[in-house]
Amino acid sequence: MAQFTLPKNSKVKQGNSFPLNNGATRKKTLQVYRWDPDTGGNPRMDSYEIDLDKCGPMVLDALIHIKNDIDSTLTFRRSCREGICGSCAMNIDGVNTLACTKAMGEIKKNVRIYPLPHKPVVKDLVPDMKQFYAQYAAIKPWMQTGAPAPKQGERLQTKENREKLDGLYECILCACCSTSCPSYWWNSDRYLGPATLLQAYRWIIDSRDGNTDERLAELEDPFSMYRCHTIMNCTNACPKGLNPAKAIAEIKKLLAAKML
Amino acid sequence: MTRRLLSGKKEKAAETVRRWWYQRLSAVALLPLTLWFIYDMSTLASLEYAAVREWLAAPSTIILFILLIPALFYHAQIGIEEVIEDYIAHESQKTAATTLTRFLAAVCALASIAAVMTVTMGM
Repeated sequence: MAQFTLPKNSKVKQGNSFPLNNGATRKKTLQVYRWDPDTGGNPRMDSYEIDLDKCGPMVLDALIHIKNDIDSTLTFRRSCREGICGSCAMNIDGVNTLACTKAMGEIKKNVRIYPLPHKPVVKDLVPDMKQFYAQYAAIKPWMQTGAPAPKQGERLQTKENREKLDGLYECILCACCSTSCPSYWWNSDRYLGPATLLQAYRWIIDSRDGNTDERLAELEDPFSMYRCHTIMNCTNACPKGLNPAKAIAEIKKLLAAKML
Repeated sequence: MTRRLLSGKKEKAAETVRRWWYQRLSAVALLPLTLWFIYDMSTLASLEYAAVREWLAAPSTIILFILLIPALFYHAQIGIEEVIEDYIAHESQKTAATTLTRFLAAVCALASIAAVMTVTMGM
């Protein structure tokens, strides 16, 4: 049966508070999930009050400000700070998104920040992504073709065929969609999840790939793809504005057409 | 039997695609059928038993019921089996729950058809 009760030490408790005492006029409070594997115990929510005049407008700016100037023990992933690497994906104000492209101004009350849901936590806002990457590798995300490479230049495709990859190639594998999907929460051991399925469709629809039938056959079983019930959380969450639910629907249409 | 075991995975795969397709087909069929059912039922409330029997005995009504009943219970069966597949990971529990669902769907469908026939034929 699915587990509906929380495992031991899962209850989030109230943590430390870091108030601001310098007469700042523009203030914002960030409540951040903290858990340290070295000390163990329950996770806690630490509260940081920051001066908006001393940091940039995005949630990631605030997190960097906290780490640099308030509490250096805070742990999170970040790299490009412009929405292209996918490292700083986290649950902000109840929605999975990228901290670097989420403006604090969009959030009226306190900014509540958790790690991506339903992944094991390594530390604080850092989730364990091993399984997610293993699933991505399982769909063989590279070009497979029996055709010999052209003597000179690249493998070409028509403009129309190239357009079929729009809305797919932009995926940065941040896992905001997969970790927002209830089907993925319950069955992530066997269901591939929206991010991996969008990538699978990216190769299925590529005119230069020669393994379309094998790729489709890999998704035919009851779990790999058919746990998708078009809940659409993936599409709502995607910080790049992509539509994984539509990509999955396209794969289902291709499989149905093959059967008929 | 041996053949089924050997090609078990593949057969289950083909079945998955087929069930997904049947779920959609039954959903589309149920749209007009349910509207007809609700509308006709709402007009029956004020009628006498004899008039209702006459309505039920009309060939058009019987044909629509023969379409509605299997579509309804088959659609419900697939829906509940999906829920079982989602939430019950234990294989033997899953098989038991699925078998029970199929049995109940068949019983309900047969009982509904029997009920229509009983009223129609005045038994």
